[in-house]
Amino acid sequence: MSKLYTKLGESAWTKVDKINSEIFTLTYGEVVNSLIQDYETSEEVNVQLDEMGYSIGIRMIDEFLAISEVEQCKSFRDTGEILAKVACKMYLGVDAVCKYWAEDDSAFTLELKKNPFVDFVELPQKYKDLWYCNIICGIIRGSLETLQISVDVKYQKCVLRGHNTNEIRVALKSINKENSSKKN
Amino acid sequence: MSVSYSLLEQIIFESVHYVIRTVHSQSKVLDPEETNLRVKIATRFNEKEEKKKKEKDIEKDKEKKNENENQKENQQETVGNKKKDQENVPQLEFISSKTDIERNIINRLEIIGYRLGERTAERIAKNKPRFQEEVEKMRFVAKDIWTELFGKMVNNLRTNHQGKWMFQDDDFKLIRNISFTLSEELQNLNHQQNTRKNQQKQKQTTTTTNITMTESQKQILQSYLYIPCGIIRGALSAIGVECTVTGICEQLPACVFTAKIINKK
Repeated sequence: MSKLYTKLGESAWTKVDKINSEIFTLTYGEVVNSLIQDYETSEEVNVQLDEMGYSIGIRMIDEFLAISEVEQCKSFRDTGEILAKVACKMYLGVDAVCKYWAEDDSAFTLELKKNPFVDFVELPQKYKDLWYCNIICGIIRGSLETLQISVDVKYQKCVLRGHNTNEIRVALKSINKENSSKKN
Repeated sequence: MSVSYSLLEQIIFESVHYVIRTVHSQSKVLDPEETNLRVKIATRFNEKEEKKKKEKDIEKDKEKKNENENQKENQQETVGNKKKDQENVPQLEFISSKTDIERNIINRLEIIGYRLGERTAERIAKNKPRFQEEVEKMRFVAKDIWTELFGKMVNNLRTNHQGKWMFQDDDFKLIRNISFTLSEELQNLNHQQNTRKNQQKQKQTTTTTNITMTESQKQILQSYLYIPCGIIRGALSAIGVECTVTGICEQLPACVFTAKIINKK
């Protein structure tokens, strides 16, 4: 199954318009700068980034499903694999990995070795509690919620804070099957 | 390394929404006063006269971004109106608070674009020979900056030879995927530009279609044009040209950005 997903990911990557990642990093940096102006503590900025990501995720899921042509997931495990192999490849051009699955497949860790948001960025001491790429968490949360899967997404390790890799923990809260509609 | 363009687009859109939201919420203290004043003024004065004044003020604010000029106008108005009636003063406070909101939004969005344009220009111009004439600088923005950021060149670059340059893009990428919903006008249109899904299907068959818009739609769209204006201003200032930039969108994907040069030496 994972081979299928990597193939889907690569074909989706070829279909999408691309832009130089440095421009992307610059733009994202400006957006975070703008947010920092308004709030005093890093915690508040984290929350705002998550909210922004949420509204982006709601819109992005349509485009993702249209371009990547994935089939309906049979389990949360499939969701995690699609997120890592297809979505991260399509949007960030990066190969991500799903690790550390919980016993009942209800939670996993998404590991991004290369993160284009974070190139050439240094966090000053004042904002050492800032999860710089928290917008990704919001995007995951927003897009899964439109598919009636409510999740808890948190950043666990970030390169900017001195860790080796970027890790996001995604924990399943509930799947609402009554209202879900089949999306092809 | 490359990244998907739609992610960048979404982040830019979201930051526009965020700035508009926060600026409005920060000045929320004034809002209840505004609504009270509206009621009082409507009952006291002729409504037509008020509407004319408000439209004039809103138009003036959109044309001139220079803060000093705005302040001068308000002062002149206060002087003029004081002679007429003292009850006009609360109305002016109401109007100036609204322009503060607009100015705040414009400034913040422009600064985001400014820094982006400045750094992009520095990155690209590093490897280029020194620019000798103004024309070359403008062409640099129209060709190199535009291809780097939007994947295509500007369609038309014009000047009036008196310091005004117009960049016309017939299919501006940041505006392309915007649609207006729940609007009566849309029912009268022949073509629609909707979500990406439809666009993917349409891409192969149709070319871009232009949609004319109503005044209110243009006002909404205006807020998405401030970041590109800032990009142009930033890029030009990085190569040594100081200017003010305004952007107008008449038909949906086609935009015109006008740069007026300051300090000709």
